[in-house]
Amino acid sequence: MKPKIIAVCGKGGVGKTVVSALLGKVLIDEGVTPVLLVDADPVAGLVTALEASPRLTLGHLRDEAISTLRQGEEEKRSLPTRLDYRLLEALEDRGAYSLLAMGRSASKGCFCPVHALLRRAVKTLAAPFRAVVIDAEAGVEQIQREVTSHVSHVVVVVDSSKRALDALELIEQMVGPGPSLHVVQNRGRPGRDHVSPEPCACFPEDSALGDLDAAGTTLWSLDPERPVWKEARRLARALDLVRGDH
Amino acid sequence: MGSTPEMTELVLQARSFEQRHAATATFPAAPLPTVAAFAKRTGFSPEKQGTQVILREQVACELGHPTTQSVCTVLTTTDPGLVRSGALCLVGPDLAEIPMGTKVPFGQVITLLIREGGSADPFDLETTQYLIDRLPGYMVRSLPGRLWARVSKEARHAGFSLVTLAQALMLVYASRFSSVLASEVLLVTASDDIVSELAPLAMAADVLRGTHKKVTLGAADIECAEQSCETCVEKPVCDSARELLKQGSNRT
Repeated sequence: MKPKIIAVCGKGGVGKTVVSALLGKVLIDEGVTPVLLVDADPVAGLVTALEASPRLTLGHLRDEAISTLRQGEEEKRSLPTRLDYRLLEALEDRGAYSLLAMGRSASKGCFCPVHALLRRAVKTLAAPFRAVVIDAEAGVEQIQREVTSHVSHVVVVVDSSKRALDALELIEQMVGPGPSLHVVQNRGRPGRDHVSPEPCACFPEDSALGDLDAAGTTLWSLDPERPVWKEARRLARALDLVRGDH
Repeated sequence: MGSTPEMTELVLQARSFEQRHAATATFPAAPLPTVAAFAKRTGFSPEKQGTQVILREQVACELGHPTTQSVCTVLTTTDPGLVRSGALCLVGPDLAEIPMGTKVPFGQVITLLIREGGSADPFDLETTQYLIDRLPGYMVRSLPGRLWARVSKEARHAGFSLVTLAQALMLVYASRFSSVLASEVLLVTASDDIVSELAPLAMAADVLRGTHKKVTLGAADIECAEQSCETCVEKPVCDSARELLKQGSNRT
């Protein structure tokens, strides 16, 4: 069975990482495992939020691939298998879930075909997972560059700002007919915000998350009684990943 | 790839290695089955069959994990006196003796008897040793000269052993290359130090194949402000990547 691939997108600062982290934990707790969590933000949001510090990232692999492609024919031909090896090495496999980080690349330039090679390798690696949650980079560039292609669900996180709603509109246009699109409102103001399409979950403002963030403590240590967890489960149900009334 | 005095020397070095470790070496005697019988028992296929990923929770044993030593190489000769057809030499424990979940160092040397004048793509001949996606329950990731393999719990419970692996290696070469007349396999799991002893041999084999040669096209900082591929000095890099993408799953 192919994994469900969920890309969590939105304007910078709306809370993509929080939503990604909480959704990931809910999936693990509900037994939708193994889960692959991908931190696609070069500035590292999700991995930091989970107190991880990956040694090897996709950025490193990108640089290695570019370097290899500048070399002789023998080196080039071995690149796909080399990428598979290094990608497995980059994967932080923790049993019920695994982590993969985008990281930063030192190589300037777009190198789109190199990204395509990497995407293909990641797609292969993702095959045995039941769900893949991608904490995407802020903005729409990753959607534009099809870094988030092959996703089955796009979750757009918005807050109360007009800029976030503008980003939602843009993402709706760019995503196209393939993946299903879901809206999550973060730090919502009940009765005051009007978001369309209607959000499938509304995460309330929660200062405890900010405290954990400030302390560099994993978001997964948040008190299980906090209301955001209920919304994370609602989101998981909306994505048809868990069932039942929680 | 073929036979040269230098390659003959490497084959003899592999034999010396076995003799050096004779006290801990075993020579499991298992007649080589037919491809059909082996495939029925193990699901083996001489050609790639989909892609398998074995995650950590399903791993019985890891061979050549990045944190351990890993050496692999293919030697070729046209001298039938140098190849013990179907022989397996195992230096170190087989899988049944390795505790579940352990990462062990791994050395693999395959010696092939090649028909004089036979032609085979040297790249294919070399990369076939990794046995990628040909044996269910045996997942491989490779770098040139190094392999990292995971054996699944399911495969191990079904009886997968290093004998199984050696047989798969011999059968894959016999099936895919008409110029391969016989083969023998040396597998080492004893220790990092013992596996490392094979490194000079593998490196020397690389030099003989010419795979150590690199041509650097040069690298310069580039600006991509105009995002114009036609004027970009890195276009050869992207062209190469596109070639690889087109080749798709035709990699061995």
